[in-house]
Amino acid sequence: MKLDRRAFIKFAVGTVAGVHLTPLPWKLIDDIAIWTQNWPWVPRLAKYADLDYVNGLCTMCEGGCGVKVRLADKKKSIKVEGAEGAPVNQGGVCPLGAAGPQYEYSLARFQSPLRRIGARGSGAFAKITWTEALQEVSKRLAELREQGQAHTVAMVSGRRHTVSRVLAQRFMQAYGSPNLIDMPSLAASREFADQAQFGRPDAVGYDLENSDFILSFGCGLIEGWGSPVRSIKVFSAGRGKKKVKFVQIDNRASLTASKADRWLAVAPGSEAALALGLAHVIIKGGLYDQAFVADNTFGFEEFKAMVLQEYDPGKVSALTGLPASDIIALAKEFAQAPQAVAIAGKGKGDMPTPVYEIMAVQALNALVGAVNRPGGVIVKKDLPLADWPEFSPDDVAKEGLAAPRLDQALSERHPLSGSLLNNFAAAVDSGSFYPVNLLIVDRANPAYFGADPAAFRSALDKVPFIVSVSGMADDTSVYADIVLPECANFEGPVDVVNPPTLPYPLFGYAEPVLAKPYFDTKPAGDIYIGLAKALGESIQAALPFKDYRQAVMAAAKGLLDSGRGRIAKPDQESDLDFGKGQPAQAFDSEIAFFGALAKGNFWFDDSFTYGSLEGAFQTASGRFEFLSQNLKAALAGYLSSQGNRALIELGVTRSQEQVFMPHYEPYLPPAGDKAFPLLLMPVEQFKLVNSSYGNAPYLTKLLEDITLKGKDLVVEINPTTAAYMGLKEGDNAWLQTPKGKLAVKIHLFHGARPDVVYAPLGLGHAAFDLYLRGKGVNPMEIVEATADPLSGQALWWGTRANMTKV
Amino acid sequence: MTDHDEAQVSAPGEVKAAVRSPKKASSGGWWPFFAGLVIAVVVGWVIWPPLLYSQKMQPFNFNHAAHTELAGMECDECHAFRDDGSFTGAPGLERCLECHSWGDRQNEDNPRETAFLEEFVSEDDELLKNPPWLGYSRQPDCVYFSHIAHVEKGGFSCEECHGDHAKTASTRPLQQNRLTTYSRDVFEKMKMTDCSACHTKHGKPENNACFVCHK
Amino acid sequence: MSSHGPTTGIKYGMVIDLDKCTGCGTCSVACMTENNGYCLEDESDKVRSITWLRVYRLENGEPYPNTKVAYLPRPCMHCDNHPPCVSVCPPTATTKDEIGGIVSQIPTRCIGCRYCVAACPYHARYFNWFDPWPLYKDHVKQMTEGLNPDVAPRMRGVVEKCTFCHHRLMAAKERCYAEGLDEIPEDYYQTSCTQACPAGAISFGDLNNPEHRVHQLLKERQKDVFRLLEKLGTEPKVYYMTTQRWIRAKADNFLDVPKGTGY
Repeated sequence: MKLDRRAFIKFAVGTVAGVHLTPLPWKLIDDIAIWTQNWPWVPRLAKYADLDYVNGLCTMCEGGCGVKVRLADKKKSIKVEGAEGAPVNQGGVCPLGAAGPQYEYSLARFQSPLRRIGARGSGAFAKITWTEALQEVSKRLAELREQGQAHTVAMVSGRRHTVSRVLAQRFMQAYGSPNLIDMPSLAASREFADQAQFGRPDAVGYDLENSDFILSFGCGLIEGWGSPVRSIKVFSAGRGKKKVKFVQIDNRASLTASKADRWLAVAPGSEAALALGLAHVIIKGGLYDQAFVADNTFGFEEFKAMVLQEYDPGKVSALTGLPASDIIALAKEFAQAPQAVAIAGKGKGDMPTPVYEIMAVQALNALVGAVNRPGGVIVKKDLPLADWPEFSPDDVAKEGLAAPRLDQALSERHPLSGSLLNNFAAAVDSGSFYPVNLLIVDRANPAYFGADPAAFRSALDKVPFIVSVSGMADDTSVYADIVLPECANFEGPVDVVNPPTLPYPLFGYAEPVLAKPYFDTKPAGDIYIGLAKALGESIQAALPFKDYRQAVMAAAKGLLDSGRGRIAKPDQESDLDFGKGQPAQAFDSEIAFFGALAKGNFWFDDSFTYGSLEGAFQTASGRFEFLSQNLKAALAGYLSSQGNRALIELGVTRSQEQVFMPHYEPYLPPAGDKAFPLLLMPVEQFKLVNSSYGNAPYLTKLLEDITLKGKDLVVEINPTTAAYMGLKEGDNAWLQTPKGKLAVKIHLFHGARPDVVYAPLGLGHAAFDLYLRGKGVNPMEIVEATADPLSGQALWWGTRANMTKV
Repeated sequence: MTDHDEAQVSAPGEVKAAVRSPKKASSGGWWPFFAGLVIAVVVGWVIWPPLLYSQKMQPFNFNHAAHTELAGMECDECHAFRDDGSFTGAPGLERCLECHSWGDRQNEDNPRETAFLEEFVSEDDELLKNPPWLGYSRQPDCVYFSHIAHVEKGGFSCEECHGDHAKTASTRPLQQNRLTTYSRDVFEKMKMTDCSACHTKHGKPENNACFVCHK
Repeated sequence: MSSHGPTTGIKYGMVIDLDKCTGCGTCSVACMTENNGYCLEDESDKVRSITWLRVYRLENGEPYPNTKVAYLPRPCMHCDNHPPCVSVCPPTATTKDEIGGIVSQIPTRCIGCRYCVAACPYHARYFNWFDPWPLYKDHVKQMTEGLNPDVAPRMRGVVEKCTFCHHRLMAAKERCYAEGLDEIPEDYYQTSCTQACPAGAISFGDLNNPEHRVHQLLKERQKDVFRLLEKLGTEPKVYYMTTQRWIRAKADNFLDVPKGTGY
């Protein structure tokens, strides 16, 4: 029998007919439809046996927020929410904290210790083990010590308000190098001003929760200032049943300015003049708190004489651009509000503010008696952390520590400035003093952030060996020779010490939330303890701890021993909430105390009596000093040795007693430059992170297209200025300063002050992941810094600039 | 009406047509047609269905009957609700360890218990591992299924949906559709039409709102 | 249950205090982490960028120094009266048929015609032009580690939108069954954005329940309350409050704000 064509067709028809008698085609259609809903590359949801919330501490900034982490099978963080009972944030969280899990799974994370294999900055690294990495670093460190070069080891640290920073400092001391340089920030300026007026650094906080009138000198109160969630909570509470008057002094229609009850648009850089103008009106009108001024201040007569002579409303009006009548009205309102406070420190706090400006604003508070008054400036009680066992640096260390600091901070010239990053970069770059043979970059990104990142990068070229203790591949870490990666927020033990602007002492601690780090990383504290151990007995003696946890516990013991304070218990099962808390004394053993503290919990001491000023001022006079004797004493050496030149060197244009009193010093370049008719002012945004973390993808996603458009940074300019310059909305333009030029896009914004270009800070990274790298430009590359009179801190609030259409 | 029913009803009609057709054939007869038909039917009904599903064995051949009948345990002793009402599904090893461990065996002579302990428990606590149980009835990611809504609120017993699963002495393999990767149990017993039919039958048409089951 | 008309009984809704809102974007981030939002390499193209809860920037348009900016968070309005998206959806992938009145969106049922995107007057609906989680790209696997197991990831070619964290409603129901409660207490079901807002600007609950904060707020501050594009009659279940007249005017381009009415 042959299978002819006809038979074959019949066979085929038969199979087709037959197949339709089976479920096959119908089932296949259904399955294929379902398959198209679930492409193989669409992730399937994991099934977790255990999903729970665990309390932790957010250390993305220094704000000290207690958070609860949604944890899957104890190994993955899925969500971060605010912990209700936490004293600072009381259930709130900020966008940076909420993006927490994205930092854990960030593509920019270092996944293990690394050794550089490519060119510096190329980001080409090879994986090594922790033993190899620590050995290599400690070998280098030991060699330098043997050669008597301990002082040529330097550290740039971006940490503040944490025990890790204290560990790093102790490590440097025991090793024998004076060169521990902090990143520039508002905190440094505040510390300086507090030393001058209150007698110790980080002396005060603000009782904002009880203020009825908040006069802000450019503070981005709802844009990341202070402890960001707390500041926002203060603002929104004042928009509820309790009415608080917010007055914002700002040169741009910032969000804080827009949301305030009143926005006073002043000329950039004239804030100190305005504060003193207000003081003039208050003193002249006898509106000041005479009892407070008489009993608790020093140098009032000198201050009064200066203010009355130099800061009359007419003159201040010319400097600030505000009508004199507004200045008078504001001064009266401020002086008469029973619980008013004036706050200083511009932006969100990443950039230093002139110290005279901060001092001028504090002087206003003192004038109206707003010190230790409800809603005012509160002189913080001390945080009774226990001292670690004493150690004495060995001979090598002593010799190293005797060397002068490369940044000239804490020197005769800048006795009260903690660190001066710009000077450090210049000294390393020029090599005129002594070289830096090994640089440790401790969670800092100075190759990106600061007044002159290019100078820092150039200085990096001169350093033969760079070690990074950063968890992220930031702009500086990519230059490192060895990376010792720090673990992410919830992977290691973390602590927070006295968040900025908080009026009472607070200490928070959390054990790791995750069972183990997601990648092969370690807590920074453990890294320093490990290095100390490897460097031998004399250095280990300074850090005699098994691990970071033990170091924290040794310090925290002091909290229990002090018999003061309460434990907040941000614990879901607990019926105690903030406001009740549990007295620290009630814990009968250290174990119970640490056990309670370790669960992302806080010790704090807000037992405070308003009006009590006993021991508040640790100045020579024991009072608030309008005329700072501390400053006078500290600078005496420099002034006598340098004579008349000294003040010029320091950038102070006044003489005699005025040098030690808050006064107005112009720190922005004067207008009228034909080649550069505009002023470039960098703007900090809440959604743009300047720290070594960089933006998480979600934060970058939040940016409006008037901040970042494609790969272009968008700058703001007033429509009238733009029309004059021939620029239109969306134009591509060159933003040019004497230092260089950047390609940007234009956004016309009525809220931009005429003749000023506002450029957002936080973009233009050369490192990090594909969501951040190469997006926008970094205005800090073209700003020109001026040295802050007195403190020497680099200021980059304004640079002469020009814009030309591409 | 399922695909299965359709095929059964229509098949006899086709056969009748086939009986008549040879008379009209001009040459060669209709045998190739029947041959094709029969082959296709056999493929469609017998050969293809098992090919559509991959089979996976459970990580351990668990004896439900021994636990429910010999030890007298109830379903919810292992398949429990958490305090927040969510369903734990297959129990973790911790639950097993409450009764079985190296030091505390239920039956020295039971080879299955020994095998279980060897594989998942071991003498060293650091080596404990959760058996990666396979879910027979796991719904796709776009579907919610709330056990507690059916058990506590709806008053269903386990058997009403899971049959005599509790009485089986060994676990059956999990059959997964090769195209969709969903379990065969879900396809045959818990497709959307099954859910809505049951809701309607039990007088809960409001639970046929899309978002009650979908996410 | 196919009526799309006004909801009776439980009616979930939101009240957003624009005077308290600081535009920080925490709500948006909390929404994305909760609902498995994703990030494209370039998110500056706001037509393609998917944000269930978008925070819009408003400007009063006055010249310096009278300029003001404000922010307005915009989730899905969950229109109570014939949501425009529901009436146009060919495959019934979006409905308002559940108790509580939440407008559903079932991505697996969506055919990607984008009719709803066009119909929605609030731009609350987003189309996936790209694969949200293209696992064929090496880096994506790591980014998916933190996915919330309660929310289904979407796929290319479908529309998605805010669901009022519907999975949290389901979880709240389960908790009530476990605890033997007949009614869902207010704090058992809160959306992720409500919970996250540091300013306490967002409130969420049953608009018809006098014990819920949203109900009380609407009563207490009747004068300041408005909804977006009220003239359309869609009856959004998201209410806004402000004492600022210019914000009120910006939020509704049909609105002829009477002068001197105290806004």
